[in-house]
Amino acid sequence: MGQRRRLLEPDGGGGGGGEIPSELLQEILVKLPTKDVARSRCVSRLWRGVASHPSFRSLHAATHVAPAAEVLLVSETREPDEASFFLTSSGKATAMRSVAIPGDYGLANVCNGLLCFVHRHNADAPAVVCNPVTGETLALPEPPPLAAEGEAQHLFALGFSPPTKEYKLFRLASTVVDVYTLGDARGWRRHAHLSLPHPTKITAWAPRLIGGKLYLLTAAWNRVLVVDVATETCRAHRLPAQMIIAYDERIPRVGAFELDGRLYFALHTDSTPTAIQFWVMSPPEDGKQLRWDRHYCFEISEAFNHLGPWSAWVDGGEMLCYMHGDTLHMYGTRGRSPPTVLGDVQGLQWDQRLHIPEFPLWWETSKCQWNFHGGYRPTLLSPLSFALPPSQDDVQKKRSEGI
Amino acid sequence: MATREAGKKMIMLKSPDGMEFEVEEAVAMESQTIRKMIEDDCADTAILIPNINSKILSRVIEYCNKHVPTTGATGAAASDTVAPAALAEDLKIWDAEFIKVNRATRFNLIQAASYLNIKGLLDLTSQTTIDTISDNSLEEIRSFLSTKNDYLPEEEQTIRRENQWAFQ
Repeated sequence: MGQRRRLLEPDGGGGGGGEIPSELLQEILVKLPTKDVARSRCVSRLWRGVASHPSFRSLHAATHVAPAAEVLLVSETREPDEASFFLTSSGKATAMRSVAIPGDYGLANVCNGLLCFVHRHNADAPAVVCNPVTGETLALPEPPPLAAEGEAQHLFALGFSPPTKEYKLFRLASTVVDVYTLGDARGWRRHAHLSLPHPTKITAWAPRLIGGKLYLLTAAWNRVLVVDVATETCRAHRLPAQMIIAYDERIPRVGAFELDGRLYFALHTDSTPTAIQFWVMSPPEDGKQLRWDRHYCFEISEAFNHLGPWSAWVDGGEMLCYMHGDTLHMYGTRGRSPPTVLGDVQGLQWDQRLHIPEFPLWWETSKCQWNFHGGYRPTLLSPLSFALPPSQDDVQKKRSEGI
Repeated sequence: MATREAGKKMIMLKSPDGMEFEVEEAVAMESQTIRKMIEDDCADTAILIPNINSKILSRVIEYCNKHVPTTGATGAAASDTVAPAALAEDLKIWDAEFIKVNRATRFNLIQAASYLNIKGLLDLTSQTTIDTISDNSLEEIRSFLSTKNDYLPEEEQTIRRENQWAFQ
């Protein structure tokens, strides 16, 4: 025959009443979305064994493309020092996991199905990558010292390059950019020739990954940085004058998310009456100029001084969501062309307002921070698959929790 | 190399229980595994298909017969008279009938489709199981797929809690 045999015993090994053989089960499970695989783990030990096997997980992560992005609520608490993840939809939050994250760490950003946590101040501390589906975490190699460069400000962002299927961690500072490709034994690489606008005073909003590009906001300099993950190049675009706002370190007034593959900004204006505006950025492509358009604008009745924590995101690819206090505001964008905006403020009406007192939010901002992140695509990919061989263990601390 | 003549070249397939099936080469080549054997010239006499009994093999051949593209010398006329959409619709109905078998047979068909590398048959036969897993509760999945819950109660509680998000 000369053929490698892949076939199982004809009647499925296990004997008995035709239980599904494990190789057959693998064939089936690899075609299911991450959510169904996670549920399948609970069927039996055999199923868990198949669904948790490293080779199955790699195969699933490599072949399975999540059709729709989900919304992840991430809360970070102190005492205990942990991050908790909730999958949310239309105001309902389902707890995923809580993972121990050092108290001085915070979420840098969400990249497909992986979350990147970094030290809030120390640029030289190792970043930690986490998969909320499994609770696994991996500390990445320490970046080269930045303090020596006289750098005061820096920003971490985890990106994904679709052409090469590589995850890359960027550390941006005003004169140097350091890049680490996850799993690369050669470690960090430095680009000293990149001339960046100073990414000082980055807002507390996490960088967004859209179509292989990372979008970052720099509030004090009023620019958007666009980092191409594959080519490791960076461009800066000035914000339009109407979007330039006073910077507040405690409560950012601007945030960003993805809608239909484009970058949207949510912006609180401090004019009277106060409003939240949604702007879309159309990147300069095909010889066209960069464009900013104000698409939606809603008046806010609350006094701006009491703004408090807030977040804006898109649910199900079409529902504009704005959470302020314990009220979730929703506006459906499907089938509605953005209204022409006349004058400075045109108040649209929200489709729905939901009061969500049971939402897992804590109001002591010193003890808890939270934010909603669209663009989350649950994956079985293990951060541990990027662990370097034992020879590198001195710079690498692995922690594994859960499965 | 196997020659491709206008006339139908026949291939003999043998099941381990001693049955022999004479099929057109084009039909047999719906299986990428057999196609490779033929192209590698390993198929002069009968091809033994291991681990697939005659009952299953005959059903696989039935599927391939139906799904072999109706192009070439004999098929040209057929595709002139039947619209492609109608043909596809006809195939869908036929597939739905074909897959009305008991679970043991379906699992055997999945295994056969996997070994013989017949993508259409693999998709068709595994879809029922995929739907079963997607659409049903854990208890129903266990019952439909005769899978024993061998978790200890506290163990199951833990794993359910860890994957609670997937139940929404």
